[in-house]
Amino acid sequence: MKDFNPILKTLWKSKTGPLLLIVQIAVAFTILINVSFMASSKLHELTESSGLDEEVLFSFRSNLPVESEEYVALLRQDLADIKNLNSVESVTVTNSVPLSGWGVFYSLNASDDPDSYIAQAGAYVGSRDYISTLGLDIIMGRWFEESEMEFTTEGNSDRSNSILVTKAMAEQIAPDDWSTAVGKAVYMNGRAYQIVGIIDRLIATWPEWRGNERSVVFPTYIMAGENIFMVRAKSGQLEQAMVDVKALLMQQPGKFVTDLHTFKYTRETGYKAMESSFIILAGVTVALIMLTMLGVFGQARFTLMKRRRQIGTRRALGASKFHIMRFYILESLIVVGAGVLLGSLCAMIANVKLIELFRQDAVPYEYFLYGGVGVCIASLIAVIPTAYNAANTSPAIATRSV
Amino acid sequence: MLKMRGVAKSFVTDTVKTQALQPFDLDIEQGEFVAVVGPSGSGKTTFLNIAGLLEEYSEGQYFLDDKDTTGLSDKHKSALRNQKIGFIFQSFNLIPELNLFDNVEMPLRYRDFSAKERTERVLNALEKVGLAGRKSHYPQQLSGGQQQRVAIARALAGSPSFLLADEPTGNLDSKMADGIMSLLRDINQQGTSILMVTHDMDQAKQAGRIVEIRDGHLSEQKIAMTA
Amino acid sequence: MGNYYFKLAWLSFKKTPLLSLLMVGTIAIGIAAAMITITVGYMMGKNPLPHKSERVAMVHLNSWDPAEPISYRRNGEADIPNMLTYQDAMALLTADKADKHVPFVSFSTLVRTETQDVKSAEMHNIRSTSRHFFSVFGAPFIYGATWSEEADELGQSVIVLSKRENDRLFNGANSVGESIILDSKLYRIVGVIDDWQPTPKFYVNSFHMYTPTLPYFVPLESQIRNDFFSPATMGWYCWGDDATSTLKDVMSSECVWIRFWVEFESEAKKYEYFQFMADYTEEQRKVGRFLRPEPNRLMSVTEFLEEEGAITEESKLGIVFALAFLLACLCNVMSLMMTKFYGKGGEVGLRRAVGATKKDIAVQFGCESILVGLLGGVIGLALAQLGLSALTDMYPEYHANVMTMNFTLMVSTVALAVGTSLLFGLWPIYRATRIQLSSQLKSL
Repeated sequence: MKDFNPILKTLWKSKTGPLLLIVQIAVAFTILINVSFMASSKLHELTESSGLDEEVLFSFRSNLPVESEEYVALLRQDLADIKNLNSVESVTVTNSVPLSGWGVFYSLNASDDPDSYIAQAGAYVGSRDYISTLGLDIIMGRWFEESEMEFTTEGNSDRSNSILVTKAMAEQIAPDDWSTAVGKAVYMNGRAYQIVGIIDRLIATWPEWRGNERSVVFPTYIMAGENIFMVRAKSGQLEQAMVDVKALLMQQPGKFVTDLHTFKYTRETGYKAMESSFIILAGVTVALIMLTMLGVFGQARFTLMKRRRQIGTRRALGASKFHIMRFYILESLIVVGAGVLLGSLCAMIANVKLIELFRQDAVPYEYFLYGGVGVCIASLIAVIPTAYNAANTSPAIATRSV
Repeated sequence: MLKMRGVAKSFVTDTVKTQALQPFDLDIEQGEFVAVVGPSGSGKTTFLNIAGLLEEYSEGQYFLDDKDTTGLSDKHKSALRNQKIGFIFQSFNLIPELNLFDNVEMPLRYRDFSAKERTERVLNALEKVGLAGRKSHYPQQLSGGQQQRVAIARALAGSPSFLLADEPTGNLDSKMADGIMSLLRDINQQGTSILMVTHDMDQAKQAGRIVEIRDGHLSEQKIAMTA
Repeated sequence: MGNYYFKLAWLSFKKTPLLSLLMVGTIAIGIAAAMITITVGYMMGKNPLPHKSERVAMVHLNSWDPAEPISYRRNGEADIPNMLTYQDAMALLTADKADKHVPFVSFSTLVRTETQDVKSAEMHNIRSTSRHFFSVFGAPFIYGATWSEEADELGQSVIVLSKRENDRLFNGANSVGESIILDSKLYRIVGVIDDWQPTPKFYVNSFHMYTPTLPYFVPLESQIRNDFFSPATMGWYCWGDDATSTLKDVMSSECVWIRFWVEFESEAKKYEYFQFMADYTEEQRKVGRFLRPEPNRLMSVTEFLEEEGAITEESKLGIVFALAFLLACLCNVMSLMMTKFYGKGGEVGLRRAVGATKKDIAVQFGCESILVGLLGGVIGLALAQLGLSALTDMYPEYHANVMTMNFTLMVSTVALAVGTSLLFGLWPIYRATRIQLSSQLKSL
């Protein structure tokens, strides 16, 4: 590294340019690290499985155009009629559709003391075929007994206290071994519930909620004059099933069927904002890298402009093209490296502030490593044409008067 | 008009003190044509820069039209350069993106002339160098000799006390050089003093006086009027 | 003289087009990024009722479950419901202590005109409220007016339409006196409001603050009389074991589902009202309700927006990042300017030699920075408009109002570009004026 000292001296002699570049890279790197981390977190959430058989599901909202005393009977009839359709595999009524943005959540506590708070979870209620309709996996314990499940229009004081939770929720309840959550009791609004089974995955209804892997399923469906249905179509007959179900229900006078959407549509709509954020964040990441490359490129051109003669002299004195290129590239790398180091420091400070102010997660260390390497590679690409140009300076320029 | 008393210049770098110009006296009167000769590195350029108020001198006093320039502020010196001195450079130093008119007008922009007066002066100056018809051309459309004529017009436009020419024919072939020299002589005969640095003795002899600088020492050279 | 310098700046700009375009482009991108985020933040943070934001307030009563708070606020404190139970809302209405009361909920139902058949009815969300909704929140009428006090009390089937629905159903004609059918109930039109979109839509929770306003308005009492109930779309929270299957159930339950705003003629009355709320709570405690310790709230529009986080965290974060991005861009531009001005060393030397002062040079290059900033600002403004319209498509849950620049913001965009480019040009300009005169004259 015998070039090292002369490089540092050269840099020190005209500091402004390199300093500006260092500041620019530091600022860009600070944003880059945080933004790219946010982008990849979003991507992670976007690509996460909902736990549902998304391809064959659709949902809709419909009413029961009868007096409330007849709600239960008509709902059972509707469910049976829908299931009988040729294009339909199974159907369930539910309080809310995953990722639709509308639903209920509960705070789960370890005891009836609110201070024993564990976590919040999205709450679902379904009818008997809920699990098979949505295509969920129960990986521990069991589904509800027939006797536990009920449709009711009454108050809920004597409802079954059995619940299922998702694995992510079980991990919060029993951090050491989630499988031991089965059989445990949790408290919601001061009432005790017993976990009878664990569902592998069932995403909560809010796409942007970071705890949306945590869900609870209750057995008691509290009826009203309007209900949400989720239907599993026979494979390849999704569109037909949607038409059939609507036609079937619309035969009843006073009936409406609305918000009839495939689950894919619900998911896309729910994730639209997050997807947009991801696109923006990814775009910003690319823009930052390009800005950095531009800065490195500009700086290299500037020094080349100032140093043509000096380089010619070096060449005349016997420096090979390789020497010149090495000098140039090393010089850029030192500046970029300094920028990255300063940027890492700023990024860490910024990240701490972001955690504090915006409740962001801490950026893992790999991001600094890969980010630093990435910026250095991008800078190399930016500097090589100029370095090559510099190396091709004719030695004759040294002897020419300016 | 130009009076130097004990002017000297030294550089101090690290620990070494270099005497670029030894103390000297010099007087140039209105209407004189003075050539400054000497080998490279002798201090010619330093002398010229001092005479043109581009560089500080370390000792002595320099009077321009009886005004002491010692210790003047940058702003005052700029004004003096603008009003009293016309510069002509070896490489013409025209601004490529400006046309001839704008190039010649440039020094006038730094003085309080009305637009009308500026135009008059520019056209006059271009007239004097024989390029009035090409005021909308750009420098790169002209030959070297023509470019130097434009530079001379630029120097003349502000009606300076004297012209300061630094190797004005250095970048020109001999035919063009002759043209420039005869133009300079004409201008001199119309009353403008000229101080010209050159290393061409033939050209130097066309001046009325020759000052030689050698190793920082300035001396007057007597010449026989052969012409 | 300014003219002259801008002419020089333009010539100089053209002389090195690549460098100049890089400078302009970099500024434009930085400015666009900054102004897009600032626009969104600014529009989100705007005071939607500037002349009376302190006199209009939302009532939050702590009627929640003694076992556990409804949720926790960002700072970790226990929260109280921001909606009321039916019985509390009615009690406040009956007490009539504020100058105007605006309770509201929503329901969804099928809407059609008398001439349309059942099949062509459309499902719509209906705002169910009091006659004061429009005057308190500032919705302007184009036809007719709000309904009468009598309509509120008796629950008459009267309705106010949005301009858009009026255009759809009545081709924009004055439809006052006509009727439309909600589900199977005949409603008489009393008024049509103009296009109206407060930004933020402050009277609902943050989740809905940037969504379009609802197209229909009816008296709350008429919803109850006609038994409209949309449990699967309205916002409501329940605790306890009360039945909630019908509207009647919900009305007699401890569920909170009614938002309740009040307007006062003077701010002083607001404090009296807060005292009244405390008295009411105290009275209710005697019958075993309101057993939680957290105090009630009477939040002005500005307080409520602050509490709800009208400016989303993401948009605040976006502003911070975009400003940092702008800083990085400006560093880059500064570096390019150094290059640019360095390349003009010969010209500076010449100009100085023929009599330009340092100030003259500074002014000349200052004009050049301003030109770069101006072009960057104009292009940045165009980019920002493109970006904002792209955002409108990308975030359909945000009303386009949030993504729209007003005139002030447009001027600020260009001013910011010019200002920052001049600011970041100062050092390169200073350096350019400091060049050694004599060394620059050998070549140009």
